[in-house]
Amino acid sequence: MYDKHEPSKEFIDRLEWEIGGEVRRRNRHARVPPWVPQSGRTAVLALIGIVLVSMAFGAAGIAAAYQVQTSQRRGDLISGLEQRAEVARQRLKLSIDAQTNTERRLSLGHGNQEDVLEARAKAAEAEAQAQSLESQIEEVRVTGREPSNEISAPIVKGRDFVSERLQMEMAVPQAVLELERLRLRELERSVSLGAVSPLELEAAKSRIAEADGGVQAFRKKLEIRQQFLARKIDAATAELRILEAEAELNERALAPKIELARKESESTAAKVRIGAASTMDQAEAAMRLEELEMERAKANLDLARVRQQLDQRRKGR
Amino acid sequence: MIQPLSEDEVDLMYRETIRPLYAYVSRRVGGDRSLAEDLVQEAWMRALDNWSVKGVPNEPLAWLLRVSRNILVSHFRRIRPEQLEPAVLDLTVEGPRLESSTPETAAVIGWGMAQLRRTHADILEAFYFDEKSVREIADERSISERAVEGRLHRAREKLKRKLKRRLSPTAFRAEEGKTQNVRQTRAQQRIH
Repeated sequence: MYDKHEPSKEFIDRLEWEIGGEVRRRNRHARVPPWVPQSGRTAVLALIGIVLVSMAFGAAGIAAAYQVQTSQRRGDLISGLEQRAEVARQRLKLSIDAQTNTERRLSLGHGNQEDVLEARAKAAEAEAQAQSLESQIEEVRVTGREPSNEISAPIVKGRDFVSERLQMEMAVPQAVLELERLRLRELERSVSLGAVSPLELEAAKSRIAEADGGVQAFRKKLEIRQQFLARKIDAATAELRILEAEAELNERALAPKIELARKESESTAAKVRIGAASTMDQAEAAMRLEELEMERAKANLDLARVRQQLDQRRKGR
Repeated sequence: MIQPLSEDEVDLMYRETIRPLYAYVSRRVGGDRSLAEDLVQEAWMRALDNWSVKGVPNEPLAWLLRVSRNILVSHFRRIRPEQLEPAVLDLTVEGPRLESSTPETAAVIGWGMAQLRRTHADILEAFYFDEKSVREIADERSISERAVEGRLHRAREKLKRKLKRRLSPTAFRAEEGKTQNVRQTRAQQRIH
């Protein structure tokens, strides 16, 4: 028989998830777990810059200390988000105008394809930000709480806001990737003509690897999200899988950078031998290489720690 | 100093307490789901604040109920409930249950309870919302059943006086009309 004083299953699940997330968040502040690599995490976020930017769109959801409790607070929250959304809409309008102008200039024979792609990338970023904020507003309207971007957030009234926002934000690294690929093609032409150093080509490949890492990171997150929603993995495992994916991508994205730094170091050493560069330049290039190798070692350590945690969870079952 | 909470322990406590906690709050807000959910969530957030500093209490449910009660009182002190028709809230009957059957009634009753002294509110809550018998209340407080009945009566009278302010003008007239009728009857009885 229906009892009006019985909580709905949806509410029980949602609050359980919120409390679990809140406990984890507080515990992270109280005591950093051994598997959370503070410096490594920073490195992950620094490396996948595009991911950082897009994740920042939902920072409100992560930074919130308390959830919105009353309709008054819900109103305040929506009001704040709407102000940000209005700014984002203005920015989007300006970006689209700039893109249209660039395309028109290209059609008239001025400018180049790279300018158009650069304008498109900026417009894509502005659009993703505006859409993400709209989505956050809709979520707050439904839940009355801070929007959540956690991979283990529950479905809200049949809508998967987390996946929706991931899809929106993935457009940013995709646009950047397209731009970097075009730049690479241009560079390859210039290198074949001998107008540009082959090292420039390596730098472009490194940027492509970064942008591609950003796209892959979003795809991986979406995949883990789907597994969580299908109840194939639990919330803690989902969060660990995200850390694992980020550490993997970090490690993978560092490889071309290290290769570039090694070539630059060798090139500088050769220049020093013929007196075209100073020993200071050589030392700087060597230090850069060592820094990157240290980053890779940290990324490997992070990955090993996360995998150990995942392994322990699997054995614990 | 913030102490890490065990996620599993908190989860277990949550599962054990959510239903009685929700029922406690829901009965006091007339089954208003949205409000009950907000207040229950507020209680749990306060629990996490407190427990991460002072540790988990021995009786988590009792702790949550006590905090929920304070949250309810704060909530009802903030609101200004709509005026009610007398048919919705019959205060003249000494009767069975003061059930907050609708959110509107609950808002008025909750507002009235929040204005009462703690002792009066506690005994009314135990009897009407928690549906405890006079004997149970007497046993809990180590007093006689007669004392409980007396306290219930006085608390109810206090609540009636508070709630009268929230009845619509027609209710006042109805109440006054009843009083006049009683006076007339008594006068006639004295004449005869």
